[in-house]
Amino acid sequence: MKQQSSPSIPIAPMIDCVFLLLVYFMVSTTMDREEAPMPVAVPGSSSGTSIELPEEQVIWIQADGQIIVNDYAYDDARSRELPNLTNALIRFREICESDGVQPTVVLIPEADVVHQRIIDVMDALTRAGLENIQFSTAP
Amino acid sequence: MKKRRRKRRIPEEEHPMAPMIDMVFLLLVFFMTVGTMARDLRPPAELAESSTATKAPDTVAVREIITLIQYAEKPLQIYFGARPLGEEDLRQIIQQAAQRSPEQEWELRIGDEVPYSVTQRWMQALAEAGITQLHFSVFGQ
Repeated sequence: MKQQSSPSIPIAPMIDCVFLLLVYFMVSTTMDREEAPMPVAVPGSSSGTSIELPEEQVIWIQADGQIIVNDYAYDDARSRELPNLTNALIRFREICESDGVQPTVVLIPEADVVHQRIIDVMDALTRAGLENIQFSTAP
Repeated sequence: MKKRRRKRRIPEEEHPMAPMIDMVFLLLVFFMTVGTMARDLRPPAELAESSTATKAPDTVAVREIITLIQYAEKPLQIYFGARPLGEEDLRQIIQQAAQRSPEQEWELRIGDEVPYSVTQRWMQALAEAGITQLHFSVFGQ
């Protein structure tokens, strides 16, 4: 009497495929974060000569992260989004546009201000549509 | 009469393809892993995060890269490209590079905890050398 073999599903190739796909995605995935450039005007460069213009807005950044504009403190010193500063800068840009002048912003960070805080302020400036940003060397 | 010989068909089970495909894929993955196609020579740094910066297009000009890293009370680490340098060496390199090509774009990779006094010092050095094309590197979100 002929013995009938029982049907079976081979899972070894499937496991092979799964492991291969796993290794492939482990290799091809980049865990590093993408870097992006932010253009800045260096202090004392030729583009920094417009610092005397009356349309300039000076932003002081204190060592604790507090932002001061026209003797008024904007937002919390730990706030990364800086919504009040952004709104004030939008108003400044709108006034400059209505007057037909180029708005200029001068950043004056204190010596101990960490770089992240400067980038936070530059983000607020970008959100407000201000591009002419300069750094002052003398606080 | 010549008897026609039937060609004997080899059953597929005698030539299993699955292990060969496995090996090919494994070799492929191995060479993808060990092959250095475009090695990133920039030293790793915890850069500041930006919510507005966008990735530079691939067509952007090649920039000279300075990396400044300082954590807590540890001393400042300075790199030009992938090379660690002292302050005086970097100043000389900036002067020479600026004389060679003043229109060259420069990129400052500054750690998120580096104080502005350090940033200011190197921005000043670049400005004094006549460099105006400067960018901060940040992590985009």
